Amino acid sequence: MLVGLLCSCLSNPGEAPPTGLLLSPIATAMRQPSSGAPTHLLVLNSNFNLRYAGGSLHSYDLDVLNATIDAACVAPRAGLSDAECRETEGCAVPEACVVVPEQLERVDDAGGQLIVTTAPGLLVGEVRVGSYGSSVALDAAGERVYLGIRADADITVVDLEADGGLRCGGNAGEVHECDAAHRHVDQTLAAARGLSLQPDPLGLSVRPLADLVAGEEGSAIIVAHRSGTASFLIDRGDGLTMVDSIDGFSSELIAATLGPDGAVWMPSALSPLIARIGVGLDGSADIAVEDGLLYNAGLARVAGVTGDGTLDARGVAFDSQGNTLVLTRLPGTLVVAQGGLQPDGRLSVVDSVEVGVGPSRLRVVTLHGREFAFVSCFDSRDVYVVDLVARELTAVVRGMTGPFEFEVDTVRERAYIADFRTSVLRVVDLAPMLACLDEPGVPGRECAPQLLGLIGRPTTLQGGLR
Amino acid sequence: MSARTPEKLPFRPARAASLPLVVLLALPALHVLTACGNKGTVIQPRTFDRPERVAFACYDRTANTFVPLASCDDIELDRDSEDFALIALVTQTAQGEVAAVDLDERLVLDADLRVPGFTFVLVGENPTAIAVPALVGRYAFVANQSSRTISWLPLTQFHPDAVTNGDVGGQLSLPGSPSDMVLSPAEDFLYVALPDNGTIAEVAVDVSSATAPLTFVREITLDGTVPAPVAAVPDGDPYRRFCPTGSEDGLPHPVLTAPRAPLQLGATPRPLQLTLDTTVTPPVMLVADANLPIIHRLVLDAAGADALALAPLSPSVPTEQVVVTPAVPATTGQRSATQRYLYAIDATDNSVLAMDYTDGAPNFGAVLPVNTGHTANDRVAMRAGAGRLRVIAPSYSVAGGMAPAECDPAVSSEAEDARPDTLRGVFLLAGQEDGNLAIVDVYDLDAPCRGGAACRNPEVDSDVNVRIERHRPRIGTFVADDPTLLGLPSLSFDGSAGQIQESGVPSTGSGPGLIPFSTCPAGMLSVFPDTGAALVCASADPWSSPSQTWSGEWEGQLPFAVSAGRFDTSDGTLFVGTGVSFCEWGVLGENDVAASGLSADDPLAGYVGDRLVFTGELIPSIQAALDAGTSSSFERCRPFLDASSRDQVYLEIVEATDTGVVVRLPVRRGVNGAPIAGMPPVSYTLADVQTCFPGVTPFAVHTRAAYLLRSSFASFLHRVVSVGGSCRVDATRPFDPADPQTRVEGRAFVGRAYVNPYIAFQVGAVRSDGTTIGSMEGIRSTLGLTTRSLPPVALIDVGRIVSDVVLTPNGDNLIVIDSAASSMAQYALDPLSRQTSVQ
Repeated sequence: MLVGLLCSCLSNPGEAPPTGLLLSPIATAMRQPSSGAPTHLLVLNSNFNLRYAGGSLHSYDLDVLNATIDAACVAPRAGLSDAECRETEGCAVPEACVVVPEQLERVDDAGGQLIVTTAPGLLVGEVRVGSYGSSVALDAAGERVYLGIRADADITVVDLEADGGLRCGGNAGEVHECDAAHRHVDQTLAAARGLSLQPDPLGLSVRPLADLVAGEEGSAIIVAHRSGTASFLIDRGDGLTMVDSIDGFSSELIAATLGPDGAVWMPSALSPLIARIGVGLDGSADIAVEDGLLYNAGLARVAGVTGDGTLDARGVAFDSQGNTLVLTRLPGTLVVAQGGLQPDGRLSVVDSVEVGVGPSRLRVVTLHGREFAFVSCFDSRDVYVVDLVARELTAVVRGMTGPFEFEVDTVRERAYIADFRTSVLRVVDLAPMLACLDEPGVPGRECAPQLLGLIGRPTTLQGGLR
Repeated sequence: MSARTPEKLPFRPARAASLPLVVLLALPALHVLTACGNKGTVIQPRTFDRPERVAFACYDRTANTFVPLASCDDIELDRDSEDFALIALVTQTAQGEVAAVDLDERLVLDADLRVPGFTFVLVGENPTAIAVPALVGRYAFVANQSSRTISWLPLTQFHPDAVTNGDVGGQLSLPGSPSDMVLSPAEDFLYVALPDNGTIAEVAVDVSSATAPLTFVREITLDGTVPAPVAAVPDGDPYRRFCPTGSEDGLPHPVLTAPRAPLQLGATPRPLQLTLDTTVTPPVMLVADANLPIIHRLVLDAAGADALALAPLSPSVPTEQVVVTPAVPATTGQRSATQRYLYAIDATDNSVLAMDYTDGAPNFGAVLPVNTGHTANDRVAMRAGAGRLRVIAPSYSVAGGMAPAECDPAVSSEAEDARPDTLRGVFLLAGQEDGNLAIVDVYDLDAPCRGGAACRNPEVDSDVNVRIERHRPRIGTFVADDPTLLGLPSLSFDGSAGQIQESGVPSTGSGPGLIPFSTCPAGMLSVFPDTGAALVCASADPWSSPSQTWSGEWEGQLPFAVSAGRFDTSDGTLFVGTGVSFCEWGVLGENDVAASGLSADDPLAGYVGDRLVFTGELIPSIQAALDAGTSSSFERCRPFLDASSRDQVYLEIVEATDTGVVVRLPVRRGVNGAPIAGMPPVSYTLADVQTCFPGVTPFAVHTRAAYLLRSSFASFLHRVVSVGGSCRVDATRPFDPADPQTRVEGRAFVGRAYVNPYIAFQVGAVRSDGTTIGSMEGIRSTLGLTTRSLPPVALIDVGRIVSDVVLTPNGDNLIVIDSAASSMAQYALDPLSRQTSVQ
């Protein structure tokens, strides 16, 4: 019997994740048309605790999401304090106001502690992918989604339909598992030169192929691997092809961000040196994309932030003033460096703005004509908002359990924060913060961004990210 | 700010209102024990959350009321429960709160006993400044950046045992976001910096009011006219104490240069930080401007602030903070306090500048030269950018224009207390971005006792090498030893390890050795060997010349000079880089050297130019063609196929510009760089390289016929600048063969002395077997040596980010706030030692 049990365990492929279930959401992306509000929010579920056979990618309609939050969470609470809301039928405080997609079955209200609203049309696409997803990136047209999947040691590509439907080997209208062709990078070209795709893809940077070779269509993808390697992939719409890789950088590369200098910046959790790489193509049409090789564009050195010279960098971003922003975990700071690199590779640090504990992700957005950096802090369970003009803390978004990736909707003035530990999306209203900036000096007014409600049934997850 | 949702619990006894520090520290340990087996992330509970600023109040334990601050002047922070308690009020920016700490009992105070955990007093969003009137212990005022308000808070809120008096708190609206706030010495006005408005808000204070102590008066507009900078002139003997006697003569000294051209980051004033100068009558408020190169000065009198009475100062750069010293004597041995100085943080790079602030002095308003070495001479020699400045003056006061008596070396009891870690006098404290707190000497009352009377018979035997100089970071330890070299120099040559012996000859192999100097260059000491003629000399300046490791590589790569580029399609000798700046990297072509007009004795005179080394592999289509074995036009590329083991593929640089280099095929060169007869060093042609590396290809820049020298501190030194887009040796930094400070150079040549501001040596042109080295083509050679300089400067490792540092009102203790570590540390000053910390 024991042998039978063991055999059945070893051969059991596991249960597919329930449709519509947020499952340790690890990464997000947002489809932003050339004008107007973003249309869809993509959320990569990591299946971090391996409870199911794999993870999933969700596509949420942002019009429906916000309309439902307004109707279910905002309107009933208008003019009421939290205490009054708790005493009012149909009113839920933000932490208890839950919106779930209609596809999600067996949703309970935690013994009456939650007010759950089912939203038809909220989840407009779902596909199943491998476990331990790490990153999501969209192409410039908003039609192809690239996923770093650590369990596959590979990259998955998914088509994003105009209505938000997802397709990776099946029909966009049906939940399906991505087929092998969509979960694999063709390495034939690179293998001829003895190269292979390294595991642990942690950062993705996507740009149009036309930026590299005139007249080309498709996308160029740079992948940062944990081992200290970067890969160059191309996608002409018929699948991913690996062209080149470059190694020798510090291990624990955790992100890949395209800089204004055309180089992709890859911070490491172990080194004060930020790797910068380029592709040997400059937009002319005389060299084929397949001849584009990666090169070391010079290391950027973050000096003078820690006494012993070490650095645990978690992200890089750039503001409109040409400043480079480096998010460091220890100390938990947003480092502002003026301009580009000094001749000796140093970033000229002009400020260090303290943020919370365990800073994880960084976004730079412009709201009401003013530039802000949003920083999620996983361990202190909050999101810091830093005014990049004054280089001062503007606000702290609290009331979360494990904020990691997030998107800022500058048109609707809301943030969608993936809460890894509770497996929900938290919808946050930025208007109070912006009102205080626009109309200063109103005593007693609440200026912090306000949590409005949750997308997804809260589910506790032990452990967390490092 | 999201408010807490307190859970009401039964009222706790008063003794539970404050937890001793030992209990606070024990809580995490208990938590760990009880969480045994839980693999989840443990979140350490904290009392502080992003603390930023601190102010003080005095609490009468007998009457349970707050009293004027002077009542706490005599207390010692020794946990002996005196009648009065010094209370620190600390802003908590993450929560928008102000915490109270009993510094004597070392207790964090709970503002609301009904709420579990530590509750602090709520203020507005992101409190950026706090002020507490000292004359009347009634209110605290907090400027809130995001909510653009000033909160007034009855002090009774801050102590759980305080008797309430009916005072209520409130808020005053401001017309902009405050970044800083100070209380006038008469405590009748608050002044608030509003950077976005470019103004200073003036707020009237009436602490006698129980309901509305604050009234907004006006916004004060600042003049944006940039004054001309003042040029520094020679001004008497510097303040210093050096032992052994005469050792200062061998040191490089800061050189006077013309003031920098004014630089601004914005068009209008942006007042960021305020400092009160209360040593003059009427008091003056100094305003750091983060946009304009102006330090504004406002006179404070009974009618308020006057922005027009005093001319502003011109630091040539925008500033983020400004502080001033009290009057101090000009030199040791004087008691007449005549000199004043101002320090400011340069907003462009967070360096610290020093200005003469002595009214009527020739240098009043001039940025002073305070540094040597390759870095800016008008910036204090610090190892990291500064984020916070504070001038402290423990045991120092000026009475009748006279400073306190200095330490008398003849009085043993005084002399034995004179230590590097004892602070008595006037010092600048600079919170650095690397989490350290630097101490800069301004006036040390103990200086005459250091090293002993007349630098003989010091109280501490190891107090031999004393280096105290105004505007220089304080040396942190007693020092007995002279600078030296760690281990032996190494000079590998063509496979031989080449450890250099005291004779200058390598221990193994037949490579060259080091040639002795008859005397070390000016400002340098012999560091190797211990006796006899110097083979290696090093700067004895402990401030600009820390211990560092030097490595040299024959024809080595210029640090960070890597990128990618391509041959120009119309000019096959022009190679254009992508996102590069050849001149900033220090790249030179032979023609650039010739066009720079160097003197014959300039170290770079006759340099043949650098090399462009192709580091990439062949593009895949060429590799595929070669792998296929087909006869093609790419067959010429086969020698380049194996990128990991092929000989270096390089071209010589003839001319360099910001964006590109003109190249040529290498010729065989002698050890001095001159062309010599013989086999060419490479077997390929320029056309081969152009054909085999089409498109954008990676490259690095290396020296030619020279060692590339770099150090762990100074990196690669060079004087190359862009002149009209062409790379040239900087003519504005004239070379003086006698002054190492002018020899900012990172290329060392065989048979010629190499001297830079930090080190000097000469690689010989003769092998140890006596034969002359004709050429070093294809030879690998590296040089290595490590200097152990005079002692490290004094740094307090505070932790992460020093957001505030301040003396307690009686000057006995130092309080340091670390916002990133969410801690407040308390230090004693005599000697400097950490007493306790609160998180």
